[in-house]
Amino acid sequence: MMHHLGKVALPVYFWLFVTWLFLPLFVMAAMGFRDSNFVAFPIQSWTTDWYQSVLDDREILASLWVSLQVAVLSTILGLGIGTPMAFMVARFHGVWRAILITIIVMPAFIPIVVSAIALRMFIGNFGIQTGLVAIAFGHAVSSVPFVVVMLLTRLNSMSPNLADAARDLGADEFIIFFRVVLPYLSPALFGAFMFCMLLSFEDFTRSFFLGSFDPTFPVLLFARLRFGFDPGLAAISTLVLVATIALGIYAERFTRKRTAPAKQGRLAASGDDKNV
Amino acid sequence: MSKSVPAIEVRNVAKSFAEFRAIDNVSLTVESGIFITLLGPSGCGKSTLLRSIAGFLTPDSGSIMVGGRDVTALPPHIRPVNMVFQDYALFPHMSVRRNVGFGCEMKGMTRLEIEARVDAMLELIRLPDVGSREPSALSGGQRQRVALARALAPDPVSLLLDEPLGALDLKLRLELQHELKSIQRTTGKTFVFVTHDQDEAMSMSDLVAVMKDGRIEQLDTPRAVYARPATAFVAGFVGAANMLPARVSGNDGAVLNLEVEGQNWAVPADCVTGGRTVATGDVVTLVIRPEDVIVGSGPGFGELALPARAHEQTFLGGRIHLRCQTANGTALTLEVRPGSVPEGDGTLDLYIAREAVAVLVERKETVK
Amino acid sequence: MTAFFIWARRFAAYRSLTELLARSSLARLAIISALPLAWIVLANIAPLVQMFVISFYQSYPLAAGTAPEFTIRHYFAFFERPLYLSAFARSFIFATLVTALTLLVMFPVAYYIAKVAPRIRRVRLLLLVIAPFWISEIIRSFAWMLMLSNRGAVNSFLSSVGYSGPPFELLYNNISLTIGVLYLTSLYMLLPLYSALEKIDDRLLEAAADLGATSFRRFTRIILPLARDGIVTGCTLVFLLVVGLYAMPVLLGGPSNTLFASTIGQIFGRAGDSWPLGSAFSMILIFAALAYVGVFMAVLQKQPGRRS
Repeated sequence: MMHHLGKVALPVYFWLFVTWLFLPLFVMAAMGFRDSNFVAFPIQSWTTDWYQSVLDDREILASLWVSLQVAVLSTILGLGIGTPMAFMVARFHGVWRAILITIIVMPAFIPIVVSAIALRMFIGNFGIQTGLVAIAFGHAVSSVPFVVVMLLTRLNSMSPNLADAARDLGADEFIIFFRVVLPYLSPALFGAFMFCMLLSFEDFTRSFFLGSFDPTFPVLLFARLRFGFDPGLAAISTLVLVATIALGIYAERFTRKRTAPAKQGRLAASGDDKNV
Repeated sequence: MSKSVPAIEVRNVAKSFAEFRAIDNVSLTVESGIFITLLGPSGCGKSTLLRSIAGFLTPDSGSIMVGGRDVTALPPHIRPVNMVFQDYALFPHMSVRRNVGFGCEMKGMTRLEIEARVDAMLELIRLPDVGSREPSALSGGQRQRVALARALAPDPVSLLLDEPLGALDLKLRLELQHELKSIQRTTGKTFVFVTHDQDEAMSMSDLVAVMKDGRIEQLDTPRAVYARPATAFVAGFVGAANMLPARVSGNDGAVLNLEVEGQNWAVPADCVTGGRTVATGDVVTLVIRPEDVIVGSGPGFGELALPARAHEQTFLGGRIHLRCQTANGTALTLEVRPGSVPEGDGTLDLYIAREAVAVLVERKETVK
Repeated sequence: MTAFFIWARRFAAYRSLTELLARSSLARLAIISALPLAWIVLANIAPLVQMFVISFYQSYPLAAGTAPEFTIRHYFAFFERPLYLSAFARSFIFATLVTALTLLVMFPVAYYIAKVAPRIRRVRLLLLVIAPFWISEIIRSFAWMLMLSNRGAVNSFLSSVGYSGPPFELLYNNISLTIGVLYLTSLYMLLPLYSALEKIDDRLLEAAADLGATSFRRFTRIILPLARDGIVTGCTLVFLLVVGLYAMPVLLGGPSNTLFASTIGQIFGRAGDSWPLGSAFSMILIFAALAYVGVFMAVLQKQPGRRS
């Protein structure tokens, strides 16, 4: 019985699930081509006007530009902080590492609304206004834990002998960092970079509470959706969706390809007494 | 051999990790051009000693000299020794050429000098064509040789090798042992080699330092370590050993009279190992290698005759492992040619030549 | 780059710095840790501590030159208005139900990818399922609005196959909200489940089958216990995510079923002196959610046969 379940029911269920995931997205993409001012089905006549018109919508273009700036800024911050943080965590072991990681990933477990508002009140102490910088800060807070975890995975796979070998051959700590450690991390760094960009670009809640008059794209979309929707929104959403998914898949592939072969050169060092 | 400055001098070095004494006041002088092996089981301190020489560990006390210069306080990147790691530690993101040239680059050599040096090294390890490849595209043996070339390239005073063959299969290991030794001869470099494998130590080294519990138990040539082990530990660790308890019944400086298994036996006094002296009444342990026990044929001059019961034979192809028990109940292991003993259990006459025995002055330990 | 550092060696200061760093792992740690530690304090800890303190203030921001007065009345306010209590209760009940639903929906999906699908296709299938999650929450909400509205895809499909009654009211109620939230949470459940299931050795199942275990018993005795860590992680992540949702309930939910996170958002949207109230409610949400999750974990922890 289980045999049949595995052979037939599970695949059917899985592909139903996939359909459920993608159907709304295709419906949205189709809606962007509807030749009418209203969102409705079935679509009888098709047009590409909506796609052209959203590219003339200054508000939307401006919001995309804001989103992009925020994404870049928060990614720089997230990587700039997350990278040394991963090194720091890698230096600790056992209970201390567990405690450190718990504190670092804490933002991921605090309800987003709460952490966004807490940040908003906090930056007020330093006279930082809501807006682009505040949003980027908020996004960095949420992306740093992921950066740390992603880099830490890669760092853990790095033989400690690699840095020692460089040291032994006459490299000082700076050269080791730039010539050995950073290149070794680069696939994970690229993965983390893309992850930060995507995370920032898709975020709504933090951007909403930390933003001011220049909305990011999700915030603008949110505002417009509350007053009803037209095929133009479907068009721009589809464009953003396609770009996002393409970038995501590219990043995923790239990271996987680059991390896989490097592992072959590694061997669990069955230490004699160096582990003591 | 010309007595120049020793390549490495370790003076009274001790190193502890928390409560654990990894190295316990070790001194060791390594003459230039020597292949020396630090041999011992896990946790004996051999790697700790090696890493202290490389500079990755700072000793708690004592000093380390390399090429006549005190390097105790120097960090690894300015010490004139280079290391070959067990997991190779080749930089995965650099080509073989850049790996090999890395040390030269760090020395600030010019591009031309580096290229020439790299070429010479790749020639030395007989892999002149792999320069442009990435380490992950090499076989285990090739990686090991590249790691060797990389460590040799900056022309260190001494090469430190931390179980470099441990990750390879047996056939490749034998091949590389041979090659390592020949590269050592060609370059004339001092090699300090760490291993827990006695065969590896025996086959390559000029000198073997057997270590246990953070101390050097014996420092000698491979032959001497095998034939004249200074302690029961060394005897058991380097090859298989039969241990017979005995009592000294007389010692005139040339001939040593022993009471063993109820018989009197005279052996040369220089059978006593470890530079010890023995007096009448001392309890000693006799170490006899399995291949030194002769079956049948009647006693030769000065041989000890030991009747024993064979109770287990293990056929190993070219030889047979024979487990026997003497009248006193001491277990003996023999290694004999197939066909030289009757199959099945039975009583055998065993003989031991007096030159084949090593006399240890310490209580017999339980050593496998 | 390397050439620069080699050139820098001619300066004694650089040499002593690098030697210090090479010798002392403590010095290396200090250099590495300065920035991250400052960040942890400033970004992870301080804002929440400040919020905690503000929740006891009479009012905030403080007028210039005045000292804060402390009170716990904001915490009492939570119990005084049924509006707050009901939103809070609704949030927790909703989050619990959605968590359970997500687990039910996602377990077969994770099991299929991890155990049934051919090994070489696993990564591709996983990627296929993950891809939609790179898209903004708002865009995904929008897509479901297009599906579920009165003239949306579902209703027009129904009418095209012959249904002629009034359109189904699918949008702006609990149905649409649940579907939308499920869309959001499924990945957070999938990944922990997948990694737990993937680790289960197939030979264990074969051994159990060999020993005569029925498929049902294999599931309850082997798969479920071994997947427990994944289930706990997934449920924790999903629960905390749902409890903090802000945008999706506003877009897909009805006006009558406000969730607590929205309540908090609205309080902060009001005039400035309501910040202490919002802070108090935030603290209630955090502690209640963590306590709830903690109890849930403790219960599972107690199960017999648990691996440490």
